[in-house]
Amino acid sequence: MSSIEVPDSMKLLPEETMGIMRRLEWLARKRMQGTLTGKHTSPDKGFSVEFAEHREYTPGDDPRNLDWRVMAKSDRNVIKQYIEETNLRVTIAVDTSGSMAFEGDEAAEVDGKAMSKFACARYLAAALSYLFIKQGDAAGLVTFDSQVRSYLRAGSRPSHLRRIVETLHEAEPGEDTKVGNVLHEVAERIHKRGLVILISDFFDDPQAIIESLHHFDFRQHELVLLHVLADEELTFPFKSFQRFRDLEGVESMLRIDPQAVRAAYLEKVRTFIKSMETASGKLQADYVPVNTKTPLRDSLLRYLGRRMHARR
Amino acid sequence: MLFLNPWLLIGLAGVLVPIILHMMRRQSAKPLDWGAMRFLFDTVAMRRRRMEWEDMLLMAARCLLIALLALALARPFVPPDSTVPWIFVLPLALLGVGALGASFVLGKVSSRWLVRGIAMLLLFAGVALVLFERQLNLARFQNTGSRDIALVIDASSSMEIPGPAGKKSFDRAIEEAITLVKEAPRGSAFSVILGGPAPDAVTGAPLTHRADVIKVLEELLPVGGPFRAHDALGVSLLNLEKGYHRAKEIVVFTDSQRLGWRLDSPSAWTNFGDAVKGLPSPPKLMVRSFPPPEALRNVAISGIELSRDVVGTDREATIRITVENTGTEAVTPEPLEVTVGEQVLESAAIGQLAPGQEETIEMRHLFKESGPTVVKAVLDAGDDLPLDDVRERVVTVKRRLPILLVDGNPSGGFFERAAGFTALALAPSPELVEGNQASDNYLMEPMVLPAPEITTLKDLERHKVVVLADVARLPRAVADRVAAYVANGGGLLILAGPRIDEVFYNSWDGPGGAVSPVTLGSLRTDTEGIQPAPSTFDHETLVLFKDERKSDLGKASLSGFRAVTERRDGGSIAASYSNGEPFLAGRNYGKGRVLLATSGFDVRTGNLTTRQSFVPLVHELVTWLAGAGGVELNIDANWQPALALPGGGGLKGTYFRAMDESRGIAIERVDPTIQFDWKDQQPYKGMNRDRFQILWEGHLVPPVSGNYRFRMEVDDKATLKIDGRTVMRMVSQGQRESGEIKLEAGTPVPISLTYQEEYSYAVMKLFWQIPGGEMKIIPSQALLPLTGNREKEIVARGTAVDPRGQERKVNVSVGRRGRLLELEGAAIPGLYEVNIPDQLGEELEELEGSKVPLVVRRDVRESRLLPLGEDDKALIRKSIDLVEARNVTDLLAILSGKGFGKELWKFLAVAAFFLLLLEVALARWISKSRRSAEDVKVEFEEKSGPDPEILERMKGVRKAE
Repeated sequence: MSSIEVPDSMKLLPEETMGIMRRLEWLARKRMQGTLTGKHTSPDKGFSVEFAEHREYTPGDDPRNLDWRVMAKSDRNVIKQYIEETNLRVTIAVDTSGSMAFEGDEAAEVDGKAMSKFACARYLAAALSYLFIKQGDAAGLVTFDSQVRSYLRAGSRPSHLRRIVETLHEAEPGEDTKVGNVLHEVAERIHKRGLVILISDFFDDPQAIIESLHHFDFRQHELVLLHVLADEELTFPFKSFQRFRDLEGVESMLRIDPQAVRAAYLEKVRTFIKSMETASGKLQADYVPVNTKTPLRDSLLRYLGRRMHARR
Repeated sequence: MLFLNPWLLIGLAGVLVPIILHMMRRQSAKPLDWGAMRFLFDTVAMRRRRMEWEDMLLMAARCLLIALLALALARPFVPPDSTVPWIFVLPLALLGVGALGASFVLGKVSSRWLVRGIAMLLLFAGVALVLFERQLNLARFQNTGSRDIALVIDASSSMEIPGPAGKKSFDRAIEEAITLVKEAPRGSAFSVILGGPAPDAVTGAPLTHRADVIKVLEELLPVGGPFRAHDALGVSLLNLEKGYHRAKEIVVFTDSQRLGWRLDSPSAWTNFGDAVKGLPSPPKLMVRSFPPPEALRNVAISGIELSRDVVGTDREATIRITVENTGTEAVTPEPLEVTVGEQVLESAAIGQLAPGQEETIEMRHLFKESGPTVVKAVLDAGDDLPLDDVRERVVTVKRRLPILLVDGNPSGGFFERAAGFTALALAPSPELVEGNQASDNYLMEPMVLPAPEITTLKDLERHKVVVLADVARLPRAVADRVAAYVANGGGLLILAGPRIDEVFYNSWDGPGGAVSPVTLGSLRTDTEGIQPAPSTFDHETLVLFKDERKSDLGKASLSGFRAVTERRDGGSIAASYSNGEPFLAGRNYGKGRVLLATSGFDVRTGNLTTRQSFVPLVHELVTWLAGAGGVELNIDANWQPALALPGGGGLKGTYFRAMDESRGIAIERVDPTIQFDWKDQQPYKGMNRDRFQILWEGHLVPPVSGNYRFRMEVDDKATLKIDGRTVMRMVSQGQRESGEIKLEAGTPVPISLTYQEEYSYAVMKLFWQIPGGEMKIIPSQALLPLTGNREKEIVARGTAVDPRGQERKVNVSVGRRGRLLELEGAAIPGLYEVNIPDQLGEELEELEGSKVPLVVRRDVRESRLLPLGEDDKALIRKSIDLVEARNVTDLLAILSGKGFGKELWKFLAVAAFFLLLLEVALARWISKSRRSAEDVKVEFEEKSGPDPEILERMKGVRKAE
């Protein structure tokens, strides 16, 4: 197709995703603090369509904002202030723990092979980064397993996207997650109020996770949870004996008859998801279930569609 | 436990199939890198125990199922007498199989090996016990191919009880025996023994031709009476010994009644055991039992008794008939019908009889005719065993009871005579005393003899009872004679008054030991008088006087009595005085009886003689004493019916036609005595009057020990040999006496007398003089016609009719046990009619007639049907290997060397079936409970689909390739 050599990392942003993203926009729900004007309502008053109040002109202000009518009536130089649409600071946190490496047979194929949860998370992160940066928002990236592995501050320059994508590309699923603990750290690191998108399977004690989510809320971040699970983890379709090897390497191998535990296992999963969902609801965070079986495009479209819809 | 198809035990390896399948399933488990381990571990931690249990149960059930099937196919059986408690061991071993299977499912390695270890232990124990059992039973069930088999068929009365389907046990036994003969392994030879009161060896040596055996079996009829199993087994051993095969077996078809097995005599079984060991290979005793039904209706007449031993025609006797319910159900029989001789008595009603209940019916009857009379009782109860509803008894009704009273004080006035009151009591009518007879049929016939005249008494033996009334002492010869007379069945009453010489009585002994039942001491007097104490009247003669309201014996006052210093062996105290000293003592002496009163029955001794009870007392004592001896016509059902006849017989005479043996023998017979005076006549038809020879042979039985003299009166020549030595030889007519020959009492010595007649008159008489006695013809009692070493000699033959109406041969024989009248064939209970051979007619005068009834008593135990117990079987097992077969198939199995026992395959198959059901149910339940989660779905999806608006926007986005 193109003679230009595309770096490997850019495979995380396929043409299709970009095509979709170009046609979408992300709308922050909370008021965002940003450095650039953007599509988001910012608590900082700026120059925009929606009038907020007047203020005395001070040198340096853009004379375009002078309210000529007030000046004409009262000879005062006031400047019209508008509620500024700031640019959004988005931090995308991607879980790179061992459990994310699970790739089920049912998973949708990307690039000719079944997508692991990790792969799915990477694609999602890349797509969202593209979306944000494209629409002028700042996007940052945190990868973590049992600790924060990399941290890219939010940036809005297109080159930043490249860094994000490269970082994602380099990330490998690693150790055990203690998502709860790590998320506290992530929450601490993001200073400015913004949007935090967590992409993880959240395999940890739900209580710990929920506590850490509260931490984000406390710092007034808008929170979006992209809960990535493989279909197998949700249906446990195994019939014959299996040797289950722990991807996070903590527990040893388990040799069981899967049918014997299916019901109880599914119940556990259901409770887990339920608790995550409930917690998200309480925090007014978006909870987005992402099944690796569903093609990425659909997952993205569904969620973003829902979000845009809700906005209107 | 042993196996009919041991090689099918290979199937046990099938237990490995479910185990291997399980292992394969586990091994085939694909490794899977799994993220959501947290949940899995939680789940497994929660459910591991239950899952393990489910899997273990399922695995155990599967292994057990296969093990049970394999075992069932191998046809296990528990051999009889197995010492291993398989009922516990087998389930334990099976538990081992289950545990072994289950151990493979266990998760924990330590507990897995623990369970496996226990399982192996149980299995090894099971295998070891099977081998042990095999070792134990190998010899028993060796297949030795052809063998001799004695078939003993119980033909007793109780075998006629109908079993299931109304078929008599005897018929079933015959049927099974025929089946056994037909299907027994080739080369078996059979000997058939019909077991009744006497074993009947229907075939002698074992027969190989089966058709013959079957024919014999088909013709068998039940005998009745008891089954004398021990004897039958003895006969079977004898028959088996005649067989050619090395291997021997005894098969007994019986209802396993305890009676007849002689279980009270361990020594009999020890002897039997020795005989068993004497055979080339000890046989097994296989018992096929036909037990009587659980519910049995049976009433039996268990006895007919008379109130006294001696019954006369002068007074009534009480007949007591006992009826017993030996069944398990209450029965109300029809009234009892009793006939005496030809006369039918009034029938007596019997109420309902509960099981085990016994009822005695008493009726008084005056016997009108003397001689043996049959009392017959018939009960119509309509029960299962009609044979025991009839019972007979022969009562020998006496016309006369001659009593000899020896008076120790004949010179006194009547009331002072020692025997006066006693004689008067026996013949109370004045006419009788003077010799007139009150009536023709008065029983007692007393004769008083002054003591000094006793030495001249000739016909002591004619009397039934001798009363020594205060007789000081007897001459030695008389004393010996009296002792011999009592030992031969006479009765002796000693009135030990003041005159007696206690030294004589204490030292008086004879063939039966000491005559007196007690040792006497000095005379004791009591001025206040001493009374007999009725409460001590325990002797059967005194039953009438025990009740003081009816008897005044207790009021009798005696002024003195003979002290008793010691009770002799065999003697018993019959009654005592109120001070505890013995009043009356008795004993059995030989065939006779002795009573001794420690007081005289005269007026000087006290007022006993004037009590009203004195007359009945004397009668009771005398009749009891007279009850002994005589010919007992009621005999027990043992072996053949046999009557013990009084007398010893005589000598066997061989009458030659010439003076040597050249012209042969004219006749051989037993001559009771050698007391012939043929004058010039021929001694026997067809012999010459002159020039013949007679040889008398036999044994001489000396009644007492001492020196004997013999005398012959001969015309013409004779030679007497005793114990092989020539005692006397006479070559011409005349008399001669021998020197003294020392002989031992009771030890028979061979005697032979050769007599030759030449011309003219022929006389041969043989006398002896026993120590202290006079010279007289040797009595037949002292002669046994036994020659050489023969045990018995048949001296007369006759016939009899048995209870079934069949004729039987009668043999009168003389042996060491004396003279016996024996009926050939088994002693079937019931009434026989014996034609007494002519030769015996005179000697059995008291039987009065040539036809004598004989009753073989039915043993009531035969009706009680007491079965062989475990202890009994244990006793039998000490002598022979007892194997209990449940049916003819078992018997055939043993004979064909397969062994048998309780086959278990059915139980195992049923268990396997139930286990299969269990396994299916369990598997279904488990899989269902697990699969119930199949429908569980976890909601994990965006709730809304993609927004159409957005989809609209997406148009034109290039799809990724």
